[in-house]
Amino acid sequence: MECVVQGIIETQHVEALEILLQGLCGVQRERLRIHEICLKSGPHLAVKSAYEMNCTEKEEKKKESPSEAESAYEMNSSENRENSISVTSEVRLLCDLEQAEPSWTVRHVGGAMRGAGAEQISVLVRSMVESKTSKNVLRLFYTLGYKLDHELLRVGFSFNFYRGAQITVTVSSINKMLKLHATDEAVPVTPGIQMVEVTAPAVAETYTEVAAAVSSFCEYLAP
Amino acid sequence: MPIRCILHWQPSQGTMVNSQILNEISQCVESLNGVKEGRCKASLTFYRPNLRDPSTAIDFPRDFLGISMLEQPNKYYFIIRGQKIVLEADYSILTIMEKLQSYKSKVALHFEGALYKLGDFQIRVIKVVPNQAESLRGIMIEIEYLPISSVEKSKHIMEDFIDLWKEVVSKKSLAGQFVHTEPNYAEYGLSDNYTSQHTAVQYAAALAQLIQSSQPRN
Repeated sequence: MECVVQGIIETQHVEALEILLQGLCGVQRERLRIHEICLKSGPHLAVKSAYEMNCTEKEEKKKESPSEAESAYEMNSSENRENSISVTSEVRLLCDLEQAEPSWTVRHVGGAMRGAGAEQISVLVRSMVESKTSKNVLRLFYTLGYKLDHELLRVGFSFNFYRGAQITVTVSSINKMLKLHATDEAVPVTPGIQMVEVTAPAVAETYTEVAAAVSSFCEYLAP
Repeated sequence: MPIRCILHWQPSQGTMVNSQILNEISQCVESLNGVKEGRCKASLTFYRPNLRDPSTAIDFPRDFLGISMLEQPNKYYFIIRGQKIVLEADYSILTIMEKLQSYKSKVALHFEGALYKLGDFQIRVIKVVPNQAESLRGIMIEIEYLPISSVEKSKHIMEDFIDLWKEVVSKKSLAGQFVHTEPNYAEYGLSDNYTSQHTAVQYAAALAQLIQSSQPRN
């Protein structure tokens, strides 16, 4: 689970933002260069049927009585899953190119929390699971029947610090590749515009505090 | 990490593994002055694709295995033997697989055993048991040589030790023998420096051998 606030900034103002963030965070920035490969399951791989899904969720709810936050999330994810019966499953493979030896991470991003609980907070709360892996993860997912949907290259910098929560601020330009995996020949998707993302990991029990910490930090970045 | 070799027990034609053989093998280790130092456990799970149309199963791997090891509690290993793929991942990959719902876990087998120390060697006597059942499906031993982590450099000393081990076991006149088939690690993209991924590849190979050797009886 994570709390997220996203925004955009004109490239000409990125330098000023970096100076502001340096002052606010009190840590050194880290360079960011991530090759992101989005995969979708092929046409023959299925998710469970709506009937099966509902039964499983009811059984799960019987076993444990989740907190209010979990209930809100489950309700929403159930809705998403029902909608996704005819939709493929999606997973992202991130290759960190800043490391001497590129490192790989698998990331699954779920649906955003909605409902009464979510309306009261100003940040996006969504399920997010990551797993670091060895280098042949792309080959594994291809073999499992996943297909390349799109790929992009994020280039920029990030600040990682603790302020009520472990917050990461990322400022990056999103680039597309003209040829498959040709990260050296990437071109910006939106020239002159970069993305600003403030994220913090959370769990169901504490997401309100984490959301408050993220929201409070984001006030410094408001135009 | 130190080099390891895994040998699986191949019962003689028309016989089956049983706990008596397991006891005799444990006694062989003890006769070499092996000192019991702890336990070991790994779990192997088969994964099958959730298919809309079962007739397309041929397009998907039939030997997709997941392995967890007690000695690496934060890691999980995936192996597809047909395509020679081994992957090491954080344990959270299991949550991702559950969320993706494209593959479901089917049968789980456990490799459970005792760890013995013999000087620079460590031997694990492992029994293969199905999930939530006591019935013995197979026996393996894992020989670890602590001073060396290079597969190539340890070849000679491992071969010598395996010969010695086979000789000790043969004196018991048991109905079967230990077989060692070392996988070609380079095919999996693994280097000469031994890692847990090498162990995962050996577990998958040993399991395939156990299944193969049990098939004529079924």
